[in-house]
Amino acid sequence: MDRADPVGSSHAFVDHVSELTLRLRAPSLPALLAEASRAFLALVPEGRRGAPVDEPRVLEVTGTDRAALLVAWLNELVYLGEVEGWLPTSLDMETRDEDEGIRVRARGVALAEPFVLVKAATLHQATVADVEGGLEAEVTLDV
Amino acid sequence: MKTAIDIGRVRRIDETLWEIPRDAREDMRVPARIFADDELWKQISSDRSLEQLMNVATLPGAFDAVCAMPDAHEGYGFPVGGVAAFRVSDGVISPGGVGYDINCGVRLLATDLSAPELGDRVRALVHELSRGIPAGAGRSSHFGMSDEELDRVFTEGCAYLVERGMATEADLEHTESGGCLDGADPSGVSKRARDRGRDQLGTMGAGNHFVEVERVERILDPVAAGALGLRRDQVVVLIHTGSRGLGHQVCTDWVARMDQVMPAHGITLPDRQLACAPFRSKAGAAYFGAMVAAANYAWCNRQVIMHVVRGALRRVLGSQAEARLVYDVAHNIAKVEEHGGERVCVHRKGATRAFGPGHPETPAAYRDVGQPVFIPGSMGTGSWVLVGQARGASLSFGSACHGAGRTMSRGEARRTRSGSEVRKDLEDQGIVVRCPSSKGLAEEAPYAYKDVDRVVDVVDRAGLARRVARLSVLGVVKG
Repeated sequence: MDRADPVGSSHAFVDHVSELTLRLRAPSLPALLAEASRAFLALVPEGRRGAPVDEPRVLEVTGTDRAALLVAWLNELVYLGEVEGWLPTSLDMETRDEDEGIRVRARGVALAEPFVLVKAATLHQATVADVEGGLEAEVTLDV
Repeated sequence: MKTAIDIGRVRRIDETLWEIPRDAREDMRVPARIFADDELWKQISSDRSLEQLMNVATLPGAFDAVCAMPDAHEGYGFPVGGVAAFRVSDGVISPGGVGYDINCGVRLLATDLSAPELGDRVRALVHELSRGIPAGAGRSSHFGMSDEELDRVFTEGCAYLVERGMATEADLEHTESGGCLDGADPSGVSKRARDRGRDQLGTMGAGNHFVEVERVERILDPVAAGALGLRRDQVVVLIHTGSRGLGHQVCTDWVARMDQVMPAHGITLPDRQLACAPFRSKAGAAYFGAMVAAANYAWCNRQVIMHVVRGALRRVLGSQAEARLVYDVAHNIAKVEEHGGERVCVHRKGATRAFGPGHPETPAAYRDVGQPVFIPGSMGTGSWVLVGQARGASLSFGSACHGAGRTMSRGEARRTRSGSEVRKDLEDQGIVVRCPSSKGLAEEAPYAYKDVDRVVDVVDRAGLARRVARLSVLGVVKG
């Protein structure tokens, strides 16, 4: 089991003419996905974040490569935040196949009410690149 | 992503039209046309709009030319303000070419009232609208629907709302495609899309969506204004929204699906967000059916909002107050049309259909003057009513612009002035403002957009659509 760890991970939102670009850096793919979740949680005003939820949830996403997998993960978060009012904060990777997808056991926080983070994550210039110390990624979000 | 355009290859055709020839890049299948004057050309060529337009020109089955309207700006995949047509016989359909907010569009209502007659009651009217129309990201309506009811919205569009007492036959006659495109396939709309849209019918959403109370400030074409039933100083209401979370999820689902099936069709792309499939393939047909369902949902969304607006007018102005739908037009959609003797799937992403006089799809009352086109400006700067012109049929697949077009990112807009400062600026102009988010107000400030008067002037001079009337804002409810 591969545990995501925030050490060495970071994120930044960068302006785009009409949208928003999310840049991520993390030591591993699970850590990258966890950092993406923290980035989205940062979009939720503190007053609208609820308590941690003990019960873990199993989440599965697929993509044709790492970039598509990251975009699919972000779109999973969009759905969870908007419809279920819940976002993961820590992940345990159960299975990982970059061609097929991932299965994670996640713990997270409830939101005070369902919250629209962004409309969607796009494949436009989506990248996940190997760099010294881990991975760097960039995804354009439709806001 | 391909490298930026060699600006030396651009040809200026006339004062409002520029062309990038087909051979400017070896993978382009058709040339690119850009409608702009000098100033707008400078703005359009300063971001990645042209590069993105050239990428669109590489898609299989591209027909005649790809076009950028004068309000074009960088998007993702397609530029916003882009128009492209692909042959039905051997061309593609691309969810990214429609966008996430499927059938985002605008409708205009005309009241019997003049602005002086409305007077101070505009404040009460805007307040009543803000109470009745949920605004802001994710806000739900009181109009939750079962799967069976959603299926009827998907397949019957606004006709279903006639049965529910929220629309009239006259409303349908004055809505693009009668408020219902044929070919909806509810099975292509995922459970997730249904979950996101189930309780959002009659909601505005966030971003640049709005309901505005306006007055007809100027009439430029009295004949066309007469046909549309518009007169100087008349109070009108402009509604701008789309298919909400349901449309966003349909696009998300089908971009991912197209990304998976493209290799089987031998399609390679300069930008993955252009993910597409042949129109006649299984995936292409399935996406079209799902997109039509979402488009019909969007028309119903604007119709339900209009129903609420009519109720608010009666409560504030008396039971005799009426509001007639002038027209409703989409600006994010793919439609099968005939152009140049070819059946094509026209993608308009941030572009409005603008058929010229005589077109059979235009309501009979407007057919002699051309299809109505509504171009909202940024908050506080006014909006425009136009009618489509014949020249557009040969230049832009009968299309015009859809708004002013952003020039400034949302972050930069927020850093320029705060939401409370923007609110005060508008109130100092006498505009009544209701917005659930100060941040949202700052992001939509007038200086974040191009000059809508200049954009519309180019559309007029290019012969795509003719100016009929300018509207100025009395009050706004922002999403």
